[in-house]
Amino acid sequence: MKRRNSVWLLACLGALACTGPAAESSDPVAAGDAVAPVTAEAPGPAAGSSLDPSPYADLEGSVVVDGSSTVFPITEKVAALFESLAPTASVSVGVSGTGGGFEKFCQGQIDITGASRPIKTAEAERCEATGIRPVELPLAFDGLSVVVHGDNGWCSCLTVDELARIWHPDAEDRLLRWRQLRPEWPDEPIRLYGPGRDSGTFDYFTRAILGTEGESRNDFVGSEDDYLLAQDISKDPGALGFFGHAYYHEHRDRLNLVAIDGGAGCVVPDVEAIGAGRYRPLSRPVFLYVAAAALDRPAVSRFVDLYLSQARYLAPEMRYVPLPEGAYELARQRLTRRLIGSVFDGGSQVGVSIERLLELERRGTAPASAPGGDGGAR
Amino acid sequence: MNSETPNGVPGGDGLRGLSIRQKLLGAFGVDLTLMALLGAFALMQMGAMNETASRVGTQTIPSMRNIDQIRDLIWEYRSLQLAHLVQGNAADHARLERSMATVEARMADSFARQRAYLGTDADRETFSDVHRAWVIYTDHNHSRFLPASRSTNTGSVQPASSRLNPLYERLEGAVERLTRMNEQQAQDAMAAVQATYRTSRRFIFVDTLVSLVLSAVVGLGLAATLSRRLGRLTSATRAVAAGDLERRVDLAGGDEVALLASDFDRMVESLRDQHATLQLRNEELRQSLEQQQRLTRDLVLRKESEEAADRARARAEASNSAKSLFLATMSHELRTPLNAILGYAQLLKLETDQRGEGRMGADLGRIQAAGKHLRALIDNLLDFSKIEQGKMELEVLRVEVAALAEEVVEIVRPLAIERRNQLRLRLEGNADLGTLHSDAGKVRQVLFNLLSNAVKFTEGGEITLTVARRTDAGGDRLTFRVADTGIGIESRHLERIFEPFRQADSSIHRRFGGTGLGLVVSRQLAEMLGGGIEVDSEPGVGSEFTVDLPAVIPGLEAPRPRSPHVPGPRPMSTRTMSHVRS
Repeated sequence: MKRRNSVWLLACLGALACTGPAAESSDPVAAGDAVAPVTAEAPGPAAGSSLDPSPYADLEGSVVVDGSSTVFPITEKVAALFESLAPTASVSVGVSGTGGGFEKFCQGQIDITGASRPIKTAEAERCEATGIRPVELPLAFDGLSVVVHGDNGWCSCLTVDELARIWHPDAEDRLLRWRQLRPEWPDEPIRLYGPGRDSGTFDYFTRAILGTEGESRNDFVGSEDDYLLAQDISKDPGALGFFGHAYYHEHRDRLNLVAIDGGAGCVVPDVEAIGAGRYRPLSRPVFLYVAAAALDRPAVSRFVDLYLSQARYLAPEMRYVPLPEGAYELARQRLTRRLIGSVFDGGSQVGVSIERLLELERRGTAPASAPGGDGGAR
Repeated sequence: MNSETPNGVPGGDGLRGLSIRQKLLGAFGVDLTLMALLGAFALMQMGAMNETASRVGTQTIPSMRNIDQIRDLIWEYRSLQLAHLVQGNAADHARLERSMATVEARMADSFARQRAYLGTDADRETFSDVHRAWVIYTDHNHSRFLPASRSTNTGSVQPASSRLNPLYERLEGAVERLTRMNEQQAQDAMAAVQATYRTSRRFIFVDTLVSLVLSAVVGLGLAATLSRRLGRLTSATRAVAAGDLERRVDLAGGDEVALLASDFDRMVESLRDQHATLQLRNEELRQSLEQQQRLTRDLVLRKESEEAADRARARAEASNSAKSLFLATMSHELRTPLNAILGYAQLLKLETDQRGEGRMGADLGRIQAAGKHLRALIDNLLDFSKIEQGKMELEVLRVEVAALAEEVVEIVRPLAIERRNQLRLRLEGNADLGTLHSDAGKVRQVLFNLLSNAVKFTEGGEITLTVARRTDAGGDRLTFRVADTGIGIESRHLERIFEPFRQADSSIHRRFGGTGLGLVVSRQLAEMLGGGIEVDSEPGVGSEFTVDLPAVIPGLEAPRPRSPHVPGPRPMSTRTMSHVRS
């Protein structure tokens, strides 16, 4: 019942993507929905027609990408597309979590890192210390999804307070059964799964639910590999976990999505709710951070370019909500101008809507005339 | 005895009627059938076991080996993938990918082999699960894992690899199912073989047991029966040998022993019969011997008595002869003076008649009559003694029978008239009675005697002389029948009247007078003439004397004197004619 509901909602999501304000062209989204997501050669008619392989033909060298597992599915697609366009160049895509990605990024080990939250001040400082200058590129909005096992018939909606009760450090070794959450729920053990502490998703979740980044009980199964989390949850009837919506979508036949009541009723993270900012507080933007120095390498530059041009097609395919076209344009400007730093205050920002993001971006990008280029949004 | 069936035909009583041979053959046949059944069953079961075993050998085991190989290949593939993740350079990636292609090719071979081992639909379905999972897995490998792996080298986690887990699990699960199915088949085969073995064992056990029990029952039963029956036969044989011929074996059933027993019984029976016959013969022999002894003794006795009788007869004849001689001499001596008395009385009478002295004439007449009577007595006596002495001579003449009869009747007629009797003569055969070749005087004397006798005992009655001639087996004969209506004779006296010096009743003698010799002489005369006299009488009604004489006296050429015979009481019925045939 729950699952069918989810499927219906997803169908709605697809439909909204066609008609929603974010969709300029319905074709790519529809095509992306229907076509197998694996085939890099067919990212979408619009994309394919607009792509001219010639600029990629002679690209050499490598592009090293790492970071968030939430961003990974999109990156993987782009990398495949890129490799098909630029056979002589190579792309390496790793997953280390947002935090892990920033660590490598700031050490100069990688060119690009994916992030499911804005760079933290400490991370920015570390990069600055090593001379790495990050260029922040917003990619899409993700509805951080809370999931339970596919056979869980009772937990279809949770309030933020309940989530906070569950994940609060005080609940460690205490809140262990579903009945403790709501008396009408069965007296079954509740087992928690979540991204590891290197994960931006973990950071965002704790910030959004508990108020403090990284504050959580510790008796949960954690991994930066959301595939493993999804697989574990799908095998544990008492499981409760969370990760990027893309992973729910990929495992939707074995998992149930839990609606979140942020004070205005239960809301599932579909395109409409996210786009309308109703899926609160777990809607969040995801980013790509590129080392400014790496952009001097044509391969990296071309890869990021391709990434930005394909993001709006690939994001819906991964069940992320693409940004308004203006946002990508602003991002491209930041890239061109190699604007360093984040438009955010550092770290997870809860309750940022698309409009707010766009506004922040505009604001962050607008003082492009500002000298030095290091006039971040600070 | 009847209950036995001597022919050995099996009776209606089942096995008891069967012969030993039939029983043995039957038991042997049943055993043989059981053995054949056992053989067929064992063959069948072994065939089934062999089939199962060969299926295990040719399908299950190779299939298991092949599945192991498939599993190994999956592992190899998996390790190649991991190596691919770990290795960072393109050359290693290419090498590993070539190895993967090799594994895929080997897997295709294994799959092709496995298809040959698929027996059931379930097999095929499970195998196709494996195949499908493998295809999906390798597809994913090529389409997503390898591209991702080729480009992955810095991440702390390996989502590309993690992503494969469900597919790998699916593949592994399918292989596991295939393995379990194969193991199940092996176990099923084993269970089938074991079940077959158990069934066979039970069947063989039961069959053998039945055979043994049957053989034992038949053998022991037959032996016991046989020995018991033979024992009975033996004891009967001994008993019979010891002489008990009443002993019987009486064995029921139709086997050979029963036949032997029944034969034995019949033999004993026959022996008994022969024995009885022998005893009978013995007895007869003994009796015959006794009789012979008795006869011998009798013979001796009779001989002795005959000799005594002969002697007595000789003595009697001698004395009789002396008496007869005395009588004859005496009669002759008496006749002479009597004749003289009569002659003189005649003369006196003639004189007195001439003188007319009537009173004297009557007395003289009485003297004369008495004298005549006396002379008649003497004559008779003389005749009798002549006859007794055998001195009576026959004077054979040829006379007319009718004339003779008339003459006699006429002689008697005065006497009859005197006693107011009617005297008749009846001549049968138209009075043509022919002649008689005999001693007419004696015939006349006989007839006279009889007629005068009849007259004497009849008064105012009727006397008839009937003469007839007939020819029968005895030759040409004449019958003179004198019938009267006189006083008759009581039947108890009939036998005596022909005895010398007797009359029927002593009172009669006194009333009628007579010497009593008349009938005796008459019979003797008739017998001399070759005939006889028969009497039939009823007191108060009358008497009938019949004289039967041959027309011709036999042995006339040499008339011989009749052998003297002591007259005595003879066994004679009242109706039997008393002849003396010489």
